[in-house]
This record gives sequence, structure tokens and C-alpha cells, in this order.
Amino acid sequence: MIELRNLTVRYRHTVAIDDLSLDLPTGKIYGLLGRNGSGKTSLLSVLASFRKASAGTVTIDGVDPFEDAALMAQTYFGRDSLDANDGDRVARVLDFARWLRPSWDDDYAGRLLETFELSTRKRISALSRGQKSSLGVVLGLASRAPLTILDEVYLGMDAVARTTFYRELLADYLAQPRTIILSTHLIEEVAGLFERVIIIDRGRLVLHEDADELKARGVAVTGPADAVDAFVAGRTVLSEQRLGGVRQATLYGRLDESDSAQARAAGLTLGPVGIQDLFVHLTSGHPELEAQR
Amino acid sequence: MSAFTDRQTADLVLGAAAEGEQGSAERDRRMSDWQRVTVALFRIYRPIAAWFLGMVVVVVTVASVIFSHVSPQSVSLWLIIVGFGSKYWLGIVAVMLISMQLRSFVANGISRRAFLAGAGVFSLLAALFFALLGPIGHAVEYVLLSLFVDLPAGYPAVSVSGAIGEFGHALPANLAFLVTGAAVTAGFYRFGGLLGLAVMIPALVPISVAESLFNFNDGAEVTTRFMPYAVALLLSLAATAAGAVLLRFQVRDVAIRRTAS
Amino acid sequence: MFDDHSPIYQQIAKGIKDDVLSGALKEDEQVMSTNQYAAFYQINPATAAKGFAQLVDEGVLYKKRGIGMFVSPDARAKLRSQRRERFFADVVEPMLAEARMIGVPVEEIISHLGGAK
Repeated sequence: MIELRNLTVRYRHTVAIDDLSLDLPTGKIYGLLGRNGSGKTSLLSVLASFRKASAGTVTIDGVDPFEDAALMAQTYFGRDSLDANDGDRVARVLDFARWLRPSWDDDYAGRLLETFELSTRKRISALSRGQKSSLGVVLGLASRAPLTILDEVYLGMDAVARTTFYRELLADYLAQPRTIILSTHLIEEVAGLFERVIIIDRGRLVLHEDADELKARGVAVTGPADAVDAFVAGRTVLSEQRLGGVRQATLYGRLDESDSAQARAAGLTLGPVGIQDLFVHLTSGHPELEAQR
Repeated sequence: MSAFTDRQTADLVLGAAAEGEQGSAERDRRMSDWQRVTVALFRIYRPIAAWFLGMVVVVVTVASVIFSHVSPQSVSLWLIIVGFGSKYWLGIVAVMLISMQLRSFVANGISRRAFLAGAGVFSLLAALFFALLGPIGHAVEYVLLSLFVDLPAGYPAVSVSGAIGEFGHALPANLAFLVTGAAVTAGFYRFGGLLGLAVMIPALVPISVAESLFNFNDGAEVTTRFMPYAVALLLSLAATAAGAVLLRFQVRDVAIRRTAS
Repeated sequence: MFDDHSPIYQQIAKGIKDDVLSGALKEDEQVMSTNQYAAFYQINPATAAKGFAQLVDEGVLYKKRGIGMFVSPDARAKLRSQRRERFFADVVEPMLAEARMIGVPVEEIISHLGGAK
């Protein structure tokens, strides 16, 4: 179990994470969603011992990971910028992993290099953005770290490469389950892989939810403006649109059977709201939601 | 959605991942983390050092040949370049250790503490190696030169006590440059701009002490200034140790930032 | 292959039920494991497991420890009677509502059905 209690991360002039508490059971695939500057990377940096918390506690199975040799050896933190030196060749970057990582699988790494068409002779500086990301994926997967954190590692990868990444990630997770935390902006294309979703905004926790539960939390209600107004009264409305006499309101909150029947009887259409849409609405500054947190 | 019974296809997808379990590399668990760091650093810097020394050998050889045709040299080029010049190269290595290698090691699961310990051992060994290389190369140079030319009086003599002296003066300087190089870099890495400059002042102490105490005269002979050698050695090592303590404080909880690119 | 209209695990459950009803999945036949399922549809195995759990609750599947999930022997019959119960409410009533809305008289529907045997 990963436990964060009142975690605060402060930089010179800003507070990146503000009094955040979270419990993450291990062995699951988590989706960490947040806008740019929401504090995602700071949170992940603290988990991976790349940065020390300013206040609060972080424990993994009861142990503070900061500078703990055993936990650090079992954690992989891949960022959008590769943590390798420009002058190094790909082979040298792989050397480091082979020399230092306890569960490094060299054969698997070799297969992945082929899959992503990466040459070991090239220097890091000569790689394209997408190739650097692919290398990051190779390192992340072949490290087989019990805690694998991938922070927007897909930048620059085209759709084919990303699909390959998701496929390889899932395949390896199925073969060797571990804790995987994926931070991403491309929510819809990878949401199917998440078991749980964590949303943070401006350094605070917005929600931590089972992915399927979260999907069921949003409802789009469409119909004649008056009927919609009547139906959504008293409910949490995230956004709305009008076109002529038709109104569409996005609601936050489950509708039970009777609510759905009531809506249909009033001539309203109910539609789903994807996780990405929910995320956008939940993180655009909604006072109605502050009370819900 | 009637492909539920197509388990063969699903097995194919999973099969590739299952293979990897047999392919896992067995790691030598007898080594502790800091030892892994030291070994890794040797693998990284050995070729760089070989290049550096190779170039020095070429330069010294060529220069000696030129000198022998113009006027026999009264200095030992090897002693100057390697005996007293290695410290600058080691200082640069120390800068690289902090600015480049620290991040790579932490990114591969090595704690900062283990990195400092491993890099410390590596630096000590490197300092010893280059301090030894001075007198050894000096002796080789002397032998080769005396075969072809008449060496003038000014050329530094080769003797056991001389060799010990050359070693004894190079070692504290090498160590000082390593520690200062690392501490200055760590200061900027951790604090950035102005604060980094401020921290640079105490970080320069090891070099300042070593440089002011240990020197070589025009004839490329080692001398100790101001005080007897033993006292100077102690003072220099103490200053270097103090620099190492500063380095430890800077690195032990430093945040590993992303690079600008 | 999954839409947003209902949770994925429910769509999985419905898919299996459809297969049982159509005969693509026979009674006492083993279904794919959650892992195989997850790999095939590129979804999290926990989601597949939820779908399976729902089907076990409903008696459509049963678990043989150490082997896997199997279709219950009476699953087809059970599902048929469930769907029959809901047929008029879920299928016929909406059809009639639509017919009313667009002005199709019931007699026309009856004569159309008459020719459908």
C-alpha cells in the first residue's frame, strides 16, 4: 500500500502539492490525470524519491521511500524528458539499466528495441522526440520495477507507436502484475487500461475512483430547454449548451433507475460522458464541485 | 462480440509477455549498491581516461622529439602534464559526475547516498592512480630521453625519494580538485544562480589550500610552501574532507530535476 | 468495440449473455480467462473480472477453482426466461411508443406481424 498523508511539496514561490492524502493499493494500473501545472509530476517525483516532500509523509508498505535503497531499486520513474545524457549512445543508456536494475530483463529489452525500431548505436541527441519516448518505454517496461511510474512518456510518439506501447504495457502487466501509474493527457485512448483514476487539480486531490465507477458518474441530458431545466434542478450541473430551444446539460452524479425513467418520460435523452469530458469539467474551476470534494 | 471463444488469439497476445520470465537477467546480488556505482563509473571513464592519456603520450613524445632537436629540455613534460596537470582533468571528471552521472544513477534506482559512496571510492582510486602515474611516467621519460640526448642539469632527477615526493604532492591536489569540482557543481545544481555562487566560496577551499601549499619550481621539482610537508598534507586533507562534508550536505537530499531540453 | 453508454464490464457481461443465448457459448463450456479477455480487448483485467463477477452473481457463469470460468448448465434457459419477461417492457413498448409518435396505426403493425411468420 502506498500512503500519502498531508503531503505538501513547495518550490521557492509556489506550492505544487497542497496537503494531499491518498491511499493506493499496490498491484493496480492507475491513471493520474491533471492539467499542466496541477502537481502531477511533483507528486510522482516524491513517490519515486526524486524529490523530498516539503511536509507530510509518504510511505510504501510502511517505509518512507526517500533515499531508501531497497524501495528506490524497485521503482522506475520515467519522465517525458529522458533521464539520460545527450552524448550517450542508446547502448550506454541500456548498460546503466542492466548494471543497476535488479529485475532488468535484457532479452525483453532487446525485443522491445526491435519492436520500436531503435538502434543501439545512435546517440541520444540524434534521436527524434518520439524515439526518445520509445526508449523511455523500453527502459520502463524492461526494468520490471514493482512500482513503475510513467509520466507522459508518450510525447512525440505517433499513434502506431502509442498503440504498441499500450499493448506491450498491458501484456507485461498481465504476465507480471505490478503497480503502474500512468500520467497522461491523452485520456480516452488509454482509459480502458486504468483500474483506478486519480484526478488532481492545483495541488489538491479531486477524486480517486474506480475507473468504471467514474464513467458512470457523468450523464448528458438533452431535450427541450424547459424539460431539461426541470429535471436538472437540484442536481450538480457541470456545463450546459443551448441551441435554439434545445438544451444539453452535463450532470455529475449517478442517476438511478427511477431518475432515468423520469427523464425518458419527460422526453429527455440521456447520454454517456467519457472520462476525458468529465475530467475537463471537473478541473475547470467549478464552485458546485468544491462542496462535493 | 462473438470472439469470446477465440482463446487462441488471446493466448498469442499473452504469449509474448510470458516468454520474458525465462529471459530475466540474474543480477549479482553479492555486490552492494555503492560497489555497483564504482564498477559502473570505471566502465564509463576508463575509455575517456585512455583517450586522455593516449593524447598526453603523443604530445609528450612529439614535444620531446622537437625539443631534442632544438635544445634539450630542462623540464619533465610528463611531470608537468600528468604529474601536475591531472588534477585539472580530475576536476572536470568531478563536474561530470555531479552534472551528468548523479541523475543517471538515481534514475536507475541508486540512492544518492550510495552514489556518493561509490563515486567517492572511484574518485579516491582515480586520484591515487594519477598520482602514481606521475612519477612512473617521469621515470620512463627519463630513461627514454637519456638514451637519445644528454639531459641538462635542470631536468628533475629520478629517485625513489623524488618519486615519493612527486606522488605525495600530486595526491592531495588531485583529491582537492575532485572534491571542489563536485562541490561547486552540486552547489549550482541544487541552488542555481546567485546562491550557487555564494556556496562556491566554501567549495573552493580545498583547491585554495592545496594550491597554496603544494607547488613545483621552475625545474619542475616539487616543493611545499610555508610549512613542513607532513603538516601541509594534514591541512590539505582536512580542507578536502571539509569540502567533502559540504558536498554530502548538498547532495544527500537534492531534487533530481529534469534537464532543460 | 465498447461504447460509452454503459460501463465496460456491463457490456462484457451482456456480450457473454448474448453468446450464451445464441449458442456461440455452450453450457459447461469454459470462457476466456480475465487475462485473455483483457489482452484481447485491451482493457484492464479488473474490468473483465467485474463483468465475470456479475455473471457469477446472476448464475450465468460458475467458477472451477484453479481451472477457470464456465457457463452454467442452466444459463441458456435462465437467460431466455429473463429476456422473455422483459421482452414486452424493453422491446415492444418502446416500439409502440415510436409508432404512436410517428402515426403508425396498431392495425398496420398487426398485419405486418401477420406476414412475419
